[in-house]
Amino acid sequence: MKRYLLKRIGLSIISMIIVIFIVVFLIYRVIDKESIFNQDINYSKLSGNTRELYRYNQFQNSGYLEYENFSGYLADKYRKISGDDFAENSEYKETMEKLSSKKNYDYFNKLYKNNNSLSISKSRVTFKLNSEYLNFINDKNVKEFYDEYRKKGYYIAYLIPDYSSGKDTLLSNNEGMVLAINEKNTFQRLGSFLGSLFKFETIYDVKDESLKDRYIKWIWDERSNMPALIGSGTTHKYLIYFDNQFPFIHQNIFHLRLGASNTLFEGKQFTDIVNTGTGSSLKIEQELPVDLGSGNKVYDSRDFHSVTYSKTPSAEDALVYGEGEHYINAETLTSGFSRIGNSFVIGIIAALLAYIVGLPLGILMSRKKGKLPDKLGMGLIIFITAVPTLGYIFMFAGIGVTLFKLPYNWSFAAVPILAFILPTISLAMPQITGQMKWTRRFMIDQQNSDYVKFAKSQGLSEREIFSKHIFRNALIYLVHDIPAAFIFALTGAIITERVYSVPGVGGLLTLAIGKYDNGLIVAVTVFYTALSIIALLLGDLLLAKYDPRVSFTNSKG
Amino acid sequence: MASTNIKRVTLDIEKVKTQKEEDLFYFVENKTVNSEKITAPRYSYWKSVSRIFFKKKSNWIFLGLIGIVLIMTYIFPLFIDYNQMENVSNSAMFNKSPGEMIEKYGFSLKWIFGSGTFGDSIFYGIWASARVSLSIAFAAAIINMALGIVIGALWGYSKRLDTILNFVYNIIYNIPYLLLMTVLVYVFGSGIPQFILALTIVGWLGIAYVFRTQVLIIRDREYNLASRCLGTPTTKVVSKNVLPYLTSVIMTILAAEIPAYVSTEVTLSYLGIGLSAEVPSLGRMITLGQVSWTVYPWEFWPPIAVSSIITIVLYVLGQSLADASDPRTHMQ
Repeated sequence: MKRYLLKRIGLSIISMIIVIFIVVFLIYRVIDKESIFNQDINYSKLSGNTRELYRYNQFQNSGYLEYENFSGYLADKYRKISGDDFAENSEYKETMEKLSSKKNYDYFNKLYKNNNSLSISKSRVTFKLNSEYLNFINDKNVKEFYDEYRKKGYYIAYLIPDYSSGKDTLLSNNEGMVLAINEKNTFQRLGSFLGSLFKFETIYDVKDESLKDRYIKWIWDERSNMPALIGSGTTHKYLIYFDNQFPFIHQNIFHLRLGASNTLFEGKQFTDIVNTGTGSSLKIEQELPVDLGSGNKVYDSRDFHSVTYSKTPSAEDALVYGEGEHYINAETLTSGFSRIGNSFVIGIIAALLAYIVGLPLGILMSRKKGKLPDKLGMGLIIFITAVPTLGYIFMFAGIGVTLFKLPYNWSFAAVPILAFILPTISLAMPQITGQMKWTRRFMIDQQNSDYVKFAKSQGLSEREIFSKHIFRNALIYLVHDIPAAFIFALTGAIITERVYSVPGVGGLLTLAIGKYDNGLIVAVTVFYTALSIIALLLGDLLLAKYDPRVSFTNSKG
Repeated sequence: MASTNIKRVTLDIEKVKTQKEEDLFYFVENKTVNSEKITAPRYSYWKSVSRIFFKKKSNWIFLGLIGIVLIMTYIFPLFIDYNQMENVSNSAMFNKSPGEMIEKYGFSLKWIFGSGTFGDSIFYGIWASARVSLSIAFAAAIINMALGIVIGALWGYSKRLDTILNFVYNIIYNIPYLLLMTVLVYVFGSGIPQFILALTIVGWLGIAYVFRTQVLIIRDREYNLASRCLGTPTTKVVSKNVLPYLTSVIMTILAAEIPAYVSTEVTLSYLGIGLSAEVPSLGRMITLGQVSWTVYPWEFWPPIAVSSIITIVLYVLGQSLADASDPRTHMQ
């Protein structure tokens, strides 16, 4: 059993990695990356090299590449020498002028006209710098930049300046630019994804040399009157704490990083997005950190347990958090559950309903096979199986809204709890019919087996045969799917959440696709797949536990 | 049930008692020739299939319905001139209910369901859309079934292929279906061929897996072994023993797959990642109608109703055909 378990877990991890690889490959390689500009209004307003720079910026935001702009590098360098007047520095000026010089324009434009394929970008004349071009440009700053970033595995692109034809005037937005670009391949992406998957907070996380006092220690938390583990030098101040919010014990030590959003939530991690509360902000009576313990309570909507480190707290922050306190930026408390909470509540009730309602109905159908209850049940099963999911969800919505006056749109619900009803029913219905279908199927299959005939011949009552023999054997087949039913409660349903505008996890995927948010798409896919793999694994183990005939020590299984 | 059996047995005994002895027994002469003959009624597989299928009255109704659906989706659009943008510049035509349209134009088939967001005919739109949606479903079903059956049969027979394909299947099986389809359609783009590609690139795998299991089960059945021992040629074993059994499996899969493809198209178009805006499809009609479905219900419910009718009819008919094509039902 132990060996089987290890092998099974190993296989699950391998298939997980392969799925991530496939998804990363599909998203970053197969899709034309220009498609991110399809709905971009800013893009069409820009022109020339400014637009090209914007392109690289958007590619970086969508995770296609990383780039470093030479002008920023140069400004940093001369800021150290001449302070804020770096733009007046003669060496700085000289380098900047060289980049946009007519001489460079003529030289590279001529090369380009002779051989179009030399340009690495289709939209602008862009040269990949090598030592020959570098000698022609002949600038020590560019050379320095080139050497530094070549070492890091970047390639250096030169966006050549553009002059109006035949004249000596530089076109606006067409200054020459130098960028260091790093395009990752799928294996590198996979490596960096797996490498940053797990993150433990340490006291060296904060990159601030002025912070000398770094520690992790247990204190008595006066806010909740419970012990709490706090850190200095860690990103979060409160690493483990207790409060009266579900799930009561909270931790900030370990983070699962499935990927960050590129466009939709600008850099936020997937796990943070699904754990952020939804709904309107909620003010509770609490003490501000500055006068904690004084008993002076105010109404405030901040969750002061969620503070993170900031290098430069403002004067306003000092009034709330105390003088010299670097742990600020508390998140807002909200009236609703988090995204994952919403999905979970809906999903778990639907899964419970499937078993509470579906199982007895399935048994009833198998007992009354061919009679009215069976025929009615089959009608319902066929209806739910055949009608497009969207069709019956809207039928439920139509009935609920017109007959029972239930809220349809999540955010417009007058009584928030009522908003859960229609999504739950819509999600539960296919699960109930699925449960009915399979319970009936397995019960009927068992009815024809020899042990049932034998039990009948021995004069056992119908009721006894059904409850003690048929049902227990049929349950073997049903037990495998129990973990899946409850684990998928976490994922939420893509369609249901979209129809009722539920702020859940399921709706996140379609939002991400609408915004070409590649990072988030990968994260959602990996999250769903990981849960699915875990559910299958648990199902197999439960089956082994429940059915003594299934032996995993034997290779035949 | 046990008690009724006992009752029946006692009844039979009573009946026998009342009959005369000579009615119950008669003399059979011993003929050696007869013992060599195997007598069975003449059996034709396809005749039995059609006999079982047409015996059920409801199947006639569903056959009629599918006929109407096919005529409306494939022949009716040839005679009408449907243009999504015909009234796009005439805002007086937008979002008119069937009642208003009848008042204006009198009774006409075109405006029987009123007009849509851009003043187009809902009734014409539904059938033009149904043609696209159904064609996608049929195309995907044909490709997936062909690939699935061929690969599934090989998978069932070849050991080496079994290890490779099992590994592939276990990985793909881990990804939730709708998620997979969403990502694939997003990746490939929003044209009709791309959509079919997304449906078929992994769609055959599930079918092949079911088929492989069936081939494994039937291949080593005793009656096949017996046929082989008696010297029946392989082609005859395949055509008479294996294929009839698999026909019902194929029909069962097909009955579930075609409605599922229609449903997938509707769902993905609704999620905004399906077909592009200029292609009329049932999914897009529902999406457009959904925006203000409580205000203009006539734009929303007809496409939902039609797509539901199409999928239900296809599903039920497929199931009946699957039942009829199962040789085990032919003995009744």
